[in-house]
Amino acid sequence: MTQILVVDDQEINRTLLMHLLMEQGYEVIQAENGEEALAMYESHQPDCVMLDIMMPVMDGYETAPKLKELAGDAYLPIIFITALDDQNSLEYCLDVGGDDFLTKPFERVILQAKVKAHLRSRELYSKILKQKKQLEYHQRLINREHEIVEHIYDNALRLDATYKEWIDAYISSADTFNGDLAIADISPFGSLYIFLGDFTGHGLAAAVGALPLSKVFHDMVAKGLTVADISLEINGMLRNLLPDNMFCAACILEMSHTGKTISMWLGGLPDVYLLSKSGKKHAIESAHMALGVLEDYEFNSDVMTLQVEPGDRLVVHTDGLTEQENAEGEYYGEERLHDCLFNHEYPTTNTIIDNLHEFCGTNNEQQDDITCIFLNCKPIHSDITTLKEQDQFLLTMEMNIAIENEELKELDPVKQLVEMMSALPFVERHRSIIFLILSEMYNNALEHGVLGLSSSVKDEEDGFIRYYEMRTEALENMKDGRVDIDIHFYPQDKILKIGVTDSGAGFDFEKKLTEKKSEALHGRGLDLIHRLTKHVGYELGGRRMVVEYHLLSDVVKY
Amino acid sequence: MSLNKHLSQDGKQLTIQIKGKFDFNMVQMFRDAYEDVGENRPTVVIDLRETDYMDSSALGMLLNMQKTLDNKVDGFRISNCQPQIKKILQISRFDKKFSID
Repeated sequence: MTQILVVDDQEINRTLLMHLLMEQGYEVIQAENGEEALAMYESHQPDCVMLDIMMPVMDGYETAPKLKELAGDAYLPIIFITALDDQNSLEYCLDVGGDDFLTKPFERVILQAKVKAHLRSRELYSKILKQKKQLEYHQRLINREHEIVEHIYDNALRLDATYKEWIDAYISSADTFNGDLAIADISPFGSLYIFLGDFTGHGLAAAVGALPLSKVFHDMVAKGLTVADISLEINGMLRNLLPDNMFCAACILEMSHTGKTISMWLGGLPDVYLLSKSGKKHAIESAHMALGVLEDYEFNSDVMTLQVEPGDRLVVHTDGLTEQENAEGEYYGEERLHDCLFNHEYPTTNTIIDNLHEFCGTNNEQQDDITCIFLNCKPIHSDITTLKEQDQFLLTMEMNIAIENEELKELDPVKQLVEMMSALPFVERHRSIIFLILSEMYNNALEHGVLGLSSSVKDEEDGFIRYYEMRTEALENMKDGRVDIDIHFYPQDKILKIGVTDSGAGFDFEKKLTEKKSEALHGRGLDLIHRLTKHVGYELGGRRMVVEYHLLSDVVKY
Repeated sequence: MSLNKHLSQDGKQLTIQIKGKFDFNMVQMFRDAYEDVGENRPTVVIDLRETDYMDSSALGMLLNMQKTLDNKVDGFRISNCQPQIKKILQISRFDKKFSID
C-alpha cells in the first residue's frame, strides 16, 4: 500500500492532511520535525513526503536534501507545505530538492491531483530504473562474454608472428570480431600453408565459423595433407555448420619448403596477383565458388600450381579492401588496387593501405573487414619446424622380442616396434629412419637367414616380383624359424642399439661385406644401414647383426 | 597403407600417392599404378607426403619403375617427402636419378 510521510510540527496540520490522504486511500505516517522524518524514512521507506518548512530541531530546507540522499536512485517526491507566497522562499524550496508546493489552507482536489501525479512519476521512474539496471546487467554480460570470446579468438586465430619473414599481412576488422580469417602453419615436411577466408558479413555472426575452421586447418596441415584435401574437408565442414546464407570465400595455399612451388585453391575471392621478382605482374582469377556452398559431389577441389622463384610475391586480399567507400559513396575498386600494385616498383601492404586511405580519407568509417596478405616466396629453414626435445623419462631401457614359426608368417613386427619406440624421447623424429634400419635387419634375418633365399633372383628380368613370390612360398613352407630382436635405449648418450638374431645357418659376413660395393639393387639395404648407423657388427657366425644408431638432433636437415 | 594414382586430364602428369608404409607389400600395387601412362609422355610424380615409412624394397621399386618407363615418360619427380624420407633418398643417391622436391 502506498505510504505517505507527513512532516509538520503543528498537530492540526498533520491531522488535517492525514484525514485528507487517508480518504484517498493512502496510508499515512507522521513526524514532528526533520530529524524524526529522516528516522521515519529509514524505517518505513514511504513513497512520498509532505514537508513543512518551519520546524524546530531540523527545518524543511535542511531535511529535503537529506531525504533525497537517502532515497538514492529512486525518485522520492517531496512536496513542501507552505503558507509563504514570497517567490524567494519558494525558489529556495526547489533549490534544496523540493518537487512541488502545497499551500495552506489545504484544498482536497489540488492535494489529490499533486500526490497522484508525483506518485505516478515515481512509479514510472522506478520502472525505468529497473529497466536501466536490467540493460546495464545485460550490457555487462555481453561485454564480458565478448571479452572472453575475443580473447579466445585472438589467441586461436592470430596470424603467428613466426611467419613474418614470409607473410606481410594487413588485417583490420570493422567490428570487434573479424569475419576475415588469416592463419598459417608449417607442415611436417616444412612447407608453409596459408588460409585466408572471408565469411559473409562481419562481426560475431561472421566469425563463428572461424574457430572450427582453424582447427581443421591446423590438424590437416599437421598431417601434411594436400591443399585439395583441405579445401574439400573445410567445404564439407562449413556446409554442415553454417546456415544457408553464410559461406566463406577463401584462398588455401601451400608453398613448398624450397619456396619454388605454390599449390593454391581459390574460391570466391577477388583476383590474386603474382608479382615476379623480374617485374612481371599478373592477376589470377578465382576458379571456384566459395567454401560452404556446394555439396561434396558438386565440389571441385582442383588446385592450380604456380612455379615461382625466390623473390616473387603473391598478393591475396578480401573484398573489404576494394569495396571500401569514400565520402561520395564510391568504391576503392579493383582497378585502383591494380594500378597501385602495377605502378609501384615494390608495393607492400603499406603501399596499398596508404593508397586506400588517400582515396577514402582516414576518417571515413570502415565498412567491412579488410585483409591483405603478401606472401614472400623464399625457402623455409628447418629450425622453424624443429620439435621441442622432451627431457623427461631418461631411463635406460631394454626390450627383447622373439618371433617364432607361425608368427613369422603372420606378423609384420617392424612397424609395431617402431611405433612403440616412438614414445621414447628423441626417437619420434627418427622413426622413418629407424623403421628403414629395423626393416632391413629383420627382412635380411627372415629372408636370407631363416628362409635361405638368395637375392640374386632380383637381378633377373622381372626378378623383383619373382623374389617376393618366392619369399611368400618359402614362408608358407617354413617349419622351424625364429628371429630375435633386442633393442637397447641409452638416453644419456642418445644411442639406440638394435640387434637382430636369426635361426638360420649364418653366412661368411667378411666375404660378403667385401662384395657389397656393387651397385646391384639388392645391395642397397645393407648399404643404407652402413650409411645411416654409427656402427654395424656381425656376431654368431653371421646369424646376428647389431647396429648402433645415434639419435642426434641435427640428423634431419633439409 | 594405400595407393592412389591420378592421370591429369591433359595426360601430362601421372601422380602416384602412397600412404603409410611403402615396402615390398606394395610391389604389385605399385607396378599396376604405372602400367598405363598414356600416350602423352607424362611427368611421373611420386607424392610421398603421407608416406611415413619406406624400406630398401621401395627404393628398388622406384628404380624398377624408372627402368620400365624411361622412354615412355617425360621425367620423374618425388615430391613432398617428409624430412627423414628425404634423407633416406639422399643417402641412397636418389637425387641423381629423380628430381626430389
